[in-house]
Amino acid sequence: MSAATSFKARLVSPLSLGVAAASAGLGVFLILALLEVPREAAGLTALAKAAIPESGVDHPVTAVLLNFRAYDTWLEVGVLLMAIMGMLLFQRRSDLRDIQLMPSPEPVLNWLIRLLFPMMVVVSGYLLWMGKFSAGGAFQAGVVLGSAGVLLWLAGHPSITGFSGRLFRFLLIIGFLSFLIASFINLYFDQLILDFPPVYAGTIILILETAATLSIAVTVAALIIGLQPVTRDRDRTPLT
Amino acid sequence: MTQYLAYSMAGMALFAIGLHALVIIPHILRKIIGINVMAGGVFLFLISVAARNFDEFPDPVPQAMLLTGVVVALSATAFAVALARRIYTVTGESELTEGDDTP
Amino acid sequence: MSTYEWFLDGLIIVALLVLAVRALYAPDLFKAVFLFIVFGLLMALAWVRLKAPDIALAEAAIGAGLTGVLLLDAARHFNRPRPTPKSRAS
Repeated sequence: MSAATSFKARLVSPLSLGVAAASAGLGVFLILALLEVPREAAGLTALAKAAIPESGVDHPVTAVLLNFRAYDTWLEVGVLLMAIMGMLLFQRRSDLRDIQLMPSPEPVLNWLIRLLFPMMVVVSGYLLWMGKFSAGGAFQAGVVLGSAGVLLWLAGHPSITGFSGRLFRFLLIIGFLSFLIASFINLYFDQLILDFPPVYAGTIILILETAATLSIAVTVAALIIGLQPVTRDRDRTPLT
Repeated sequence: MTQYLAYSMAGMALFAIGLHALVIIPHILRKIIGINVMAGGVFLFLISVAARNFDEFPDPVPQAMLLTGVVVALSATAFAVALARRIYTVTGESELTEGDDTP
Repeated sequence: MSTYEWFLDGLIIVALLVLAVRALYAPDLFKAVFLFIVFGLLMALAWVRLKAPDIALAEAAIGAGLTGVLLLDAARHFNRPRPTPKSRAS
């Protein structure tokens, strides 16, 4: 099949020239609209700066993420949960236990994994802790931990495919669940949702972030590992 | 930070480039990459607007939005790739064509 | 100092645009995916320039590792001849 030639033919047809003109027009229009945006505006910086002492953390982005707009973050964690649920649903599985590569025979790769995996876990924990003071936090830590899980799996170790179905699903929902529990506790004591008292805010944020990190890591890793078809013992192949 | 305007314009250009690719390229995986380029353009715009004229730190609200957005974009991409692979496995089609303009 | 900054930012922006176009219209699927991975890494550089280190960290981890695994594996899947449909597909 000559995909390349038909593709080139598509690019010069009248319709595609129209599409190109329309896209370019939209781009020019957007850039012109951009010039109307005020050049000197601080946005919500001053507001965030004034509220940081009450937030329980010192880093403005973490304060916004886990305190001022914790509701948004809760629902974003929910979106991640929806993505992995959708994938598991249409693949008709409830865990990833049947996806497993053969352990790689290459000594260099195995040595590298032994070196890199613990390092990535430590970096992830460090990022999680650093979120309180500077760049870092649940999302970065979760992504690094998730990458570590995928790396381990690529080398033929069980990684998250070794979790039992119950543990796997618990780790998927723990981030969303902890926000939900925090909301209920908050609602019981203060009649407010996700509006933490400044005294406990730091601790609550750290707990929520830890739970979110675990959830994000397992979700991200599962979204990538879950793409593989089910492996049976006879057609397991090491990664080449 | 005077360079923010250049980054915003680049973001808008990326959005237009991605949109063009999304409409014109039939291959599903390339369409997914096109959507990601569009998302990159929007991210670039929001972050560069947050970076204009800050005193101590840039506006943290768009940054927090985008931090979740980047991770959500990855998971949406993974879900889209899963659907695309399913389409390929079941139908053998890797391209989305309209049917009436293909010979 | 400012000239250097402008030079660096200009370089990043031009490279971003060129890489986006090349990634989208590269004839080979693998090449397209590789260029897109580089695009993601360059994006992380842009976040650092725009004083958003949080996003740069997340983007670097995603761009360097996860997108690569995800899209390269998908490209391999699409380049392989179509596997026989599974019995449960129906």
